[in-house]
Amino acid sequence: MKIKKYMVYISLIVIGEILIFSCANDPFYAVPIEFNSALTVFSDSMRAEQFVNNAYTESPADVSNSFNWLDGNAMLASASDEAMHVQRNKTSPSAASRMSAGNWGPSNMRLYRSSDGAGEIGSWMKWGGYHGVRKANTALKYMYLLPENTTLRFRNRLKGESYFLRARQHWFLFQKWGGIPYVRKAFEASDDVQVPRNTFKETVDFLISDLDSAIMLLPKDPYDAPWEIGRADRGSCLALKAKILLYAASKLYNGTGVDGTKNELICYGNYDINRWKLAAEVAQEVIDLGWYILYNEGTTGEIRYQKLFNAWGAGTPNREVIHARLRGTNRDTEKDNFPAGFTNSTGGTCPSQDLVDAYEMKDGTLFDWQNPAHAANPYLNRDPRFYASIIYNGAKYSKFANKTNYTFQTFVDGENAKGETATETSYYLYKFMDYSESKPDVNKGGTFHNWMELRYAEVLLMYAEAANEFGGPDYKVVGAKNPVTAVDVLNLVRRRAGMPDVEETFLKRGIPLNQDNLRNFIYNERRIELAFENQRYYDVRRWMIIDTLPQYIRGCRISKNSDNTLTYDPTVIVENKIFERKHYFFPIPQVELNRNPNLIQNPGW
Amino acid sequence: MKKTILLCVAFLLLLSTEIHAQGRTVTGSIIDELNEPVIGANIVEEGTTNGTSSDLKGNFRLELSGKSNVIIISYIGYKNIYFKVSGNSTNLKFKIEPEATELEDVVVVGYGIQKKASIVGAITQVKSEDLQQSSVPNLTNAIAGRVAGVITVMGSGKPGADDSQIYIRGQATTNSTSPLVLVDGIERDWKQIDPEDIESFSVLKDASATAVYGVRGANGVLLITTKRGKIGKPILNISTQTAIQQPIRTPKYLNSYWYATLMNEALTNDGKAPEYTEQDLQHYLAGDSPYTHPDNDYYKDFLKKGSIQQLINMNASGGTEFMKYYISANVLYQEGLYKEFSNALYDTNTNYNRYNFRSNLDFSVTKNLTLGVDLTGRLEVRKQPNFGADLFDKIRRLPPNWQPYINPDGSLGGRSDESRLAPYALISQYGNRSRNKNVLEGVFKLNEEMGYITPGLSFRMMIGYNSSFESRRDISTKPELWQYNRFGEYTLNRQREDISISTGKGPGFRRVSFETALNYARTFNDHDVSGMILYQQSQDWNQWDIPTGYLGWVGRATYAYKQRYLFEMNAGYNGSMQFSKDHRYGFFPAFSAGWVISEEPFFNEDMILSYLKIRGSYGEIGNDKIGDFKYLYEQIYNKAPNNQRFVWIFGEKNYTTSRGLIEGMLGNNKVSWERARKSNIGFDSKFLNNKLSISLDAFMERRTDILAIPYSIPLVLGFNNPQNSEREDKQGLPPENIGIVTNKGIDFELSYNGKIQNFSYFVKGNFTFARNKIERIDEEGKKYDWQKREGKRIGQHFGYTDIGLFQLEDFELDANNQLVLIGGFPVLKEGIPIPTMGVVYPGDARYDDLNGDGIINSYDIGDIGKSNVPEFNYGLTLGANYKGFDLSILWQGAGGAHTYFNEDAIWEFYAQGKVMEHHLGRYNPNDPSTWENATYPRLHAVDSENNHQKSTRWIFERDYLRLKNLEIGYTLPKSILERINLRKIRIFANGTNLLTFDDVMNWDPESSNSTGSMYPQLRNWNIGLNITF
Repeated sequence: MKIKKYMVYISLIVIGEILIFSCANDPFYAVPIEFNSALTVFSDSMRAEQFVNNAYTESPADVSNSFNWLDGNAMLASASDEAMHVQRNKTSPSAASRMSAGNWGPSNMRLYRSSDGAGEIGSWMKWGGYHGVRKANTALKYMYLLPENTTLRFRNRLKGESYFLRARQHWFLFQKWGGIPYVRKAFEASDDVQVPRNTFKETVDFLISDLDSAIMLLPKDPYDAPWEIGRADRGSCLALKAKILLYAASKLYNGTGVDGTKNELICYGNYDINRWKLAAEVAQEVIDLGWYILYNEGTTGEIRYQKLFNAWGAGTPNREVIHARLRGTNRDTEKDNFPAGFTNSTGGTCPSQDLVDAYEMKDGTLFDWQNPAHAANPYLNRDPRFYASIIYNGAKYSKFANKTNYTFQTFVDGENAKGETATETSYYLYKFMDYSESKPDVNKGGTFHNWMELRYAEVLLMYAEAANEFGGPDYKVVGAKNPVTAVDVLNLVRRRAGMPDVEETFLKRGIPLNQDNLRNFIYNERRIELAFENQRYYDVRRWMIIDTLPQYIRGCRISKNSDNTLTYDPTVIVENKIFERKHYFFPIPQVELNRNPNLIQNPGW
Repeated sequence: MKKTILLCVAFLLLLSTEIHAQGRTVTGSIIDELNEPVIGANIVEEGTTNGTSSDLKGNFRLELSGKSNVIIISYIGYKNIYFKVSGNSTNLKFKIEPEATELEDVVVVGYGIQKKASIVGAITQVKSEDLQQSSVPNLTNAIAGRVAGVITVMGSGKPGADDSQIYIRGQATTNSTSPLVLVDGIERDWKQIDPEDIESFSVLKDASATAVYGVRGANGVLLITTKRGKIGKPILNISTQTAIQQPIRTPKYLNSYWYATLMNEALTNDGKAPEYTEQDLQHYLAGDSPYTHPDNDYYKDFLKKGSIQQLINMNASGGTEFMKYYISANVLYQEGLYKEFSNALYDTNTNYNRYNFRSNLDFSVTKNLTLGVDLTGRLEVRKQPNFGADLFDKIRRLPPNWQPYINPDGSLGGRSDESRLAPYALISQYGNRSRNKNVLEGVFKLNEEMGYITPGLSFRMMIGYNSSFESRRDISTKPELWQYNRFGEYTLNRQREDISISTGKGPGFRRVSFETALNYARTFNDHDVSGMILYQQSQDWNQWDIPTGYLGWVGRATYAYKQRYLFEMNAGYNGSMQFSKDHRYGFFPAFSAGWVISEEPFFNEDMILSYLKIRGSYGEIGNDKIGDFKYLYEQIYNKAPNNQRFVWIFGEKNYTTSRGLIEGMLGNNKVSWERARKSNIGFDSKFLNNKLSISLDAFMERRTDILAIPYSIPLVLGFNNPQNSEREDKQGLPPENIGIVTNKGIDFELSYNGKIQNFSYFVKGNFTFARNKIERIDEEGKKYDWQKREGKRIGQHFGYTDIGLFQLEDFELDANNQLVLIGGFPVLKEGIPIPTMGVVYPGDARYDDLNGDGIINSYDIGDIGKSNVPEFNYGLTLGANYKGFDLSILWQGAGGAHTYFNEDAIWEFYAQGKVMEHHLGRYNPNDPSTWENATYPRLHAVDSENNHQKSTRWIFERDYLRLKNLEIGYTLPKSILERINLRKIRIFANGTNLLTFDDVMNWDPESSNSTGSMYPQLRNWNIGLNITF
């Protein structure tokens, strides 16, 4: 009996103790310390900066599959009249090929990466979409947590960068879709996210207002600390602002829209010439900063232009770069565009005859197949940028990948015109490449590749276009520190490339220098200078000249005659470039429309 | 731990030598219900350790100490006899009766046991003998076809990794459907428990049975109890089994000649030059140049005809009034299927060794107090060759003409590419990997009868500790590998790497659990009343994860009137650490009632129907097995993945920032458990003087608040699905309690026992059917009904509907009946839907345009077939005994499911892989005779985006019927046993997975893996011996 009672007491004590313990400290101690919350991140200056650093990475880059928003290692150039995309696997066309064939739609729009099954054409979410918008918004939401012992400059810089990044992400969306939902909030899961599209005007206004906020917050001077160079600064903001205003002033938007219905999601609904003035003024501001100069290392225009994309792209080594995705050495771009005739060839982005023909002669006159001298030797004495951008039949390289003193043969049955990856246009892409360092055939070597979102030459071209549209060839911004005309800035760009000045060119061609002629000249200058930089696809749309372009691209069939002379046939149609009115804008992904009934699809899709 | 065993053994020895010689002497003999003498029955003087056992003629002699005049006669499986010795105490005759008719059997229920007669929940209990009959070392594989209400899928036969998937009454949630499994009341790793150690196996199915488990019970509960000792002389049992194992089915690959022929054809189809010349083909056909033109049959060259499995179990049990014990040790040795090569420096077979021991001890400390200590230990050793996947992963892909295993110059053949290393080099020269796992489990139990407060009251308490720990050792060495091709050229493909040994530890796991309860059970005349209240708490530490835990209160009350009207109420009130403070606790009640009609006075005993009980239950249960999500209520910030995509470079020089920080999944502070509302109605009946019994249950479950990702949230939020394998950043929307699934079905069980003189036989059958339907799941608005998961089964297959192959006349043709090519591609005739997955030619797969928009795209992907998990499952056991012989046959089958095969399992030349017999039925563009009746599309040398879409072509009905088990045994007659002084000897032979009838080509219908890389399921040929001392 004694033992029994004893046991009962013990048991009761044990139970009691457990109950007391379980009541006193909730045995489910709440949030375990392993968690990193927003508080732990943003109350620490280093972590907060790391968070913002990551927000930068949302920028796409067509130079590598890793960042590519188009499936199949394609560049957007291949969806425009600049090129066609050649690939080893012929049964599964790349996104660019599908776009060229008109074989795309709302259900093709992917969200993250190709293998997520949603489609082939990205950027609504990742690589330039709302995924990045959220990062900027989250940073802005918690920025107030930054510790007081950090400098005001640091806090403002981080905040300013976040505003810039929010604008940048919306810009990518705006460029493709027009008016889009402008998100200025880091949503919680419980929030109402069924947001409608903002109108075109509202979107532009939000973009400008975010960039203006960023300009106010970012340092007055360019960065000089090694860890800050390359970050968004006032220059980046102004350049992006100029680009947005230039778009907004363009015909596609500055008017009654593609179908004349004044659809306010994709246009202003009226024309206002002052929109060009605004764009010119902001571009002038970038010029007036005096922070940027065109990349000028090298003895010839060809070398200067070529090296611009492979020189390390931040700070003093390359003062042309305003905002770019910089990368350590790699050979991704070479790998994706490696000509046939080499081991591991891929074909890739093959420039079109149309583009090749657009390169002027070295003296500024136009190339013309009707000119027997030109037709006999089409690649002689062309714009130096041609040689820096395009591999053509007979192009010689002292070092090309693992071969030395290599001459390209893209004539019929030539070494570089055979196999699955053979070009159909007879050209291969050379811009962005450095085949003296990168050797995809032996999987060795690498070089820097800068994927430019904004560079100074582009700003100058933006200024030229806007100034000419508003006030013609002689217009200068009133009150500018260094007032310039459209012709002045065009000459800067052309001189770097080793091309004659505008006035001289016009004289040679025998045409007067007036607004209309200069407009066409600027269109071509953009086509050449900014080739393969994801500009042409949008330019022909915003200018609304795409209707006038052929719905196909041409290649050149080069036959070798028995006497070893070559005959060029530049009229071979190699790829259709289907354009319908709906293609002025991208379709909003079907999955997004399904989720959000408040979204209105772009016309025609 | 060793000491504990020694101690037990010492106890054992002590017990057997105990002798008392005082007082009166009792002699007598014991016979059983067949009037046969009972050998080895225990005769004990009550309240003492003084006892003896009956001899071969059933006679005994016991000298009483005089403390008590009562002797207890006990024998396993029979009722105890209490006899008060008075007067003449010699030549007493005792006849023992079998323990209980089945009605009085007890059933293990949640946190207790109940008489079978009073059960109103849906519970099935399987006997230990049935589980042992399967002769499979993994317990999950032993229950297939034996339990009503349980659906099993056996995916792989890899030694040590051959667990079956178990679904209790199918699936009712889109999250984890795995049931809660408790071994002796504690959640434990149960799959590797030796079936021999198991006393009972209960499956708790309805709300009434599982409500006590509250938040963890919704997927059903398995209760496993291990054997315990009973009062009596020591019984020593030794059993040993040896089995030969071989794959049930191996795929039929084509030889080198056909490989080369079809490769040439595929290349031609793709517009490329053929790879093999006519001369090459002749060499393959003749086999006259094995070095340059090998024809390897990897299955033959690298797999044994049969591998050995051995299982030895030894256990001893017995006890006295003071102490009862069950101790056991068992060893399993399971050999892999790979051949061994004399030059292998290390054992590279996929072996699994397991060493288990158990000691379950019960001590009666006082009249009222019992203490128990259970200790279990297990060591598992898994070995395999030194590469990630199984050898099957390589040999499914390597073409037969790839290269010789050993080149003419004696060097080893192999590629540099890790996924196609030559199997010979891999299993002879590559070192091995071993994984050791230690499991240690201990329980301390206390039970106090508190009749001194009020009769029927008792108190119990249990503290348990489980831990497991793994360690690994990899011996790695790589030989030089040379490729020798058919042109006689050598290429050095891989440099030699010297031997290196790496070791590591983890994962480790531990769990501490505690429970304490008050029980009350008493009968007042016609009223049976019982009640229980219990507190329970457990916490898990899983490697470096944040610990999780539960606590809860459990209550049960039962009332029965005249054993006729039965009422029961069960409830659990639980909290789980998974959830935020405000949503942490939940209450889960269940009510049930039963009516035993056969106890009613109006019931005529003489009817064919001898027993009938109707049962019904309704209740709510929770499920917090919500997948990999933990602590969903908090948002976490993570380091961005270490990948150039997540790095932005700043700086004047090539100055790289560290990886950035990113938001993790958003928090959802409302997250809580799933709620299941289950109802069950059923009956138990017996006919023909209890010979035939039938039970049937119909059930209905509605699971709500299922955690699911709210896909309908627009993407402008900036997040999407966090679980997509492509999403390396783990960002995304948090799941919310939004899903609803209903699950309905029946389970049915029947048994018949008959006897014709010496010949007794039985038939046992069971059938389970469960069909679920997703009522609501927040998917991104799909445009068409057929794209939606809502309204369909969990795990429904989606794909294109294959409507045959494109024929030449489907294309625009020119005057010569040749394809018109535009832009280099053929053009389909007007009106034929255009596939967008890739360019098609005659002979490629054609799909149905479900929405009729003229193009085949993701809108045309609809539900095809069913899901992977069978909707019904059945088993039929036939058994017979004649004299010493026994025979049992188990047929088992399942159906109502589809399995999807892809990649190497079924496609041609996948990843430069091989071809199988079914590829011979292909459409050959150059052979018009194949056009009409082709059973396989045009061949491609590379992956064909159009043909290899998931479609009805690649899914197969998973219905099958297996001869799961066939066993013949012989038990030696007692006359012989008497002479050699043993209690029992049984020898037996059995086979498992002997025959399979199904329509799945090449692979087993239960294959867990769609790509053919898995270790195959095994067939066993087994012989065994069972000796009881």
